[in-house]
Amino acid sequence: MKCERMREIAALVVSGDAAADQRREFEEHAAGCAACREEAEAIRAVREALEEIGAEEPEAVSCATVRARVMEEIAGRRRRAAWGWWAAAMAAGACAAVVVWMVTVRPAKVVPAARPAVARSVEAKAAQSVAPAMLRERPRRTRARRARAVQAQPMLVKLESEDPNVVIYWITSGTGD
Amino acid sequence: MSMAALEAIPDGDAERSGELMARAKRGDAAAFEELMRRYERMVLRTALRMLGGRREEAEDASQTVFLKMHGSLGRFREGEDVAPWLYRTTVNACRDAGRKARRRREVGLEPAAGARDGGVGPEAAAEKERLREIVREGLARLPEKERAAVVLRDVEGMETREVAGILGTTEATVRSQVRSGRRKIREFAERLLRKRT
Repeated sequence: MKCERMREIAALVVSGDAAADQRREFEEHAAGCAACREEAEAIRAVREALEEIGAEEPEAVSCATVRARVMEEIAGRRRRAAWGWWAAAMAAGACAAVVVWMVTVRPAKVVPAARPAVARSVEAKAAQSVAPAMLRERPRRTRARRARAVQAQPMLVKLESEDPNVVIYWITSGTGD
Repeated sequence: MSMAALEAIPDGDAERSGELMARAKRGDAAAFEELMRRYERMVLRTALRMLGGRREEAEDASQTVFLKMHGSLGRFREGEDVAPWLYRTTVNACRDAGRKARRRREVGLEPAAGARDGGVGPEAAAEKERLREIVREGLARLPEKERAAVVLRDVEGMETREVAGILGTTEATVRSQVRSGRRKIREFAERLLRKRT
């Protein structure tokens, strides 16, 4: 029992890690115990071997391999980061170009579309069927209705930009909807 | 800092290291490469001891350590000694690598440590070299925490206080781990030597 405890201490005595009282206790015990002295010597030999292992240098080729791999990975990361910045800059530039284009475009002409023939004939028939008395009684209201009817016709809108090659057409209702 | 860590820096030029660190922080790849040269032996040696001499795994772990260092350049203060951080990161990287290797071994993808080396070649080796081989093998068989403590204390020659700081534990725990690790290696060596004779 005593020897087992002393062997535990021996593992620390060899490197000076044991407390002073433990060291003293071990030395007193080891003076009369060959097995514990042997244990301490064996542990000392292990420790020396560990120190010698520490003095061995890793192969230079391993160091060079690691260094090359690390530097390659760092360069790759930088390339990827640079590419990301470039792509982001391109995207931002494209967005800015679209915004500028939209701001500088101005509606140049609004060309009313020719009224379809069907609409004109319907209007003519309606005019014929209206009694002259009624026209006299409410002339302004009729003109307003007629104006609204004209406005309700589909209209062709032409949008011209500063670039003569860029012209946009669209059809809208006369009410502006 | 221990002698082992100081030896890792050629010329012992801490000022130069600080300058290299400042340049590396600004994105100077050549400066980072020179920093690596200063610490690569220390990192690789620790990784080799931690991983039982398995070179490929040690190289992978060292690569991980330096890439982490590159990613963490901003956290180092001016004039700060990076060696403790490197030791800590190396030990952690080796623990991760060891866990992965164990998983691979569990599914039968890799032979166990030692088995791959086919044992020690005794005929030409001197007595001391034979003991070193056995100790190296015994070290590889230690539990992870004990191995880390023994590698830093005995192989790297650090003080117990420094080891405790790097491993994030107490000096008493380090002493206990070192004591247990040394005794296990000694018992392993004795068994092996007895078997051979």
